[in-house]
Amino acid sequence: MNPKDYRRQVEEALKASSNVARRDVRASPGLQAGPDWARDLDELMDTARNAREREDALWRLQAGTFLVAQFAQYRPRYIQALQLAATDADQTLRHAAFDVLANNKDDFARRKLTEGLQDPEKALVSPAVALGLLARDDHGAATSLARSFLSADSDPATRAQAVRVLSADPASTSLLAERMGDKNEFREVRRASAVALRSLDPARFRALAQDILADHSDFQEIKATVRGALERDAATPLATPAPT
Amino acid sequence: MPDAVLGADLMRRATEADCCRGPDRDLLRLLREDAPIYAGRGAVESERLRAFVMECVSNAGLAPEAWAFIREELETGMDPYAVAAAARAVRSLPSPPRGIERLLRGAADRISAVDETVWLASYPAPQGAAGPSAVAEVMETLAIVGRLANDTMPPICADQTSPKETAVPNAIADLADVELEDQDGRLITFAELFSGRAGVISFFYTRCMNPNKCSRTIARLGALRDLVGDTAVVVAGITYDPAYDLPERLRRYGEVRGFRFGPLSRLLRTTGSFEPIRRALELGVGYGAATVNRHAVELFVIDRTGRLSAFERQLWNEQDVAAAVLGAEVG
Repeated sequence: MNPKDYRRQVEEALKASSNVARRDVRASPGLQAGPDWARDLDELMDTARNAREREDALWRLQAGTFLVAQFAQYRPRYIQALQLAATDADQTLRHAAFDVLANNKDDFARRKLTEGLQDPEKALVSPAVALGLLARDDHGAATSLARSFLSADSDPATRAQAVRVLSADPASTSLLAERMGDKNEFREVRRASAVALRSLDPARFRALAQDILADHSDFQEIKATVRGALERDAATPLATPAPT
Repeated sequence: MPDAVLGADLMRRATEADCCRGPDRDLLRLLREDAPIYAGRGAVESERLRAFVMECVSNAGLAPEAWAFIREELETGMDPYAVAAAARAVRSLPSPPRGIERLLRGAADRISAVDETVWLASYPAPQGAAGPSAVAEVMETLAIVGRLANDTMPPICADQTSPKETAVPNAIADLADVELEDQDGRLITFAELFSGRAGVISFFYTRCMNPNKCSRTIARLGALRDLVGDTAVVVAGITYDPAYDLPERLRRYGEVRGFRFGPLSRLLRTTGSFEPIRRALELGVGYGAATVNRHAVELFVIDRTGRLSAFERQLWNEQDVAAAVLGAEVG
């Protein structure tokens, strides 16, 4: 679902809720009915149903979560439904379910994602997606897995997401500095490493950024990234950009 | 040890007569955050495992020492499993204290936005297993304690007015040389910070996800600092997570919570390992792969001779702490 559609659903849910509240006060029939989350839950859990219809139900329910108090009684079953959808055969539905569960730091999702990273035969999403979802929990425990992917995996997206996991780990500062400074590393990995290092050890980031700016053989887009960060931190770049 | 083996072992231990009583109390000890079974786990994972330990402790026949853990969870817990396990444990209390209903209602309110079904019959939960929701567990306990309400029991807050003696009353002497860095990057040792002054130390970390713990602690420390005014009392917050909580982070964290900094009121990090402090003060903190995975609410009062007393596993208020520390300053 694109952001516009999602926003429209949230607005409709809010409008419907407001109508429900008015109806409660005036007890007048005939106003627009509120969202039917019980029906949406049945649809999402109905594995015989078309995956797109189930995904639509998922997003209607997710829009409902914005109405925290009204949705509270449906939430336990919603989490169960998401856990069911996370193991569905349909990849899009699976991804959508993991996306929501990971934002909720769900332990079932963590276990499934971790299992998939440890054993590709059990993987429900790609390693890059799994690491990206696990990286959302800075109180997680995926750092050692992320380190192994960073040392052995050659896919740039996977490596970049492994760096995102490590961005919560102060013990990974040296590894991040190494990736940020390595001109043979993928550029997206170097950029992700720069972002992580800037957060974990700003002084080390500034020193390394100055080295990169002073290195005439380094890439312009990496220089632009670190120069921008230095300027945002109000640190004056000491080195002159390399001639192009 | 695989989780399934660990879960079975915990259930077996709960059947042993001395698991929560006597000198061993090995199951009861697992409620502490620094128990080795939690090391390296993520925060949510650690909460789930600890909830199961709480369930086993209840099944074994609740020891009096478990009450502090139950109360702390009901006062501050945000994880549905942990709160549900604490609520279920209340059912094992021979006489629930007065005020328990208020505590349970507060816990239900706090977790209603993150409610989910919980499974505490085994660990880890089998795929697809679902018991009642955490809020339903709390409401069930409310219904039960409503029938057991006992007006002769002391109220829950009766023990909040003064600090208790700690198991480590002289621990400060061991920390004299530990170097700390404050929110402005100034270095100071424990001995220099206190040097014959009374004071308080509380612990926090800026990445804490539970607003009832660290955020509240620093806001209340700020209020305490205002209450003690210009007296020579030290008000210090020390981070559990010194590698991440660099001075700039400490300063911003304190500023937005109204903590007024001064020579005797600082937020600090250790420049080296935090372990000597954790060990000397027997702090209730555990660590995951990258940061803290769970911690207690802890505040120590230090008198001018360096002797410690503590508010442990409870939401202290600044008036009680001010009374205690000003008494320690005069004494």
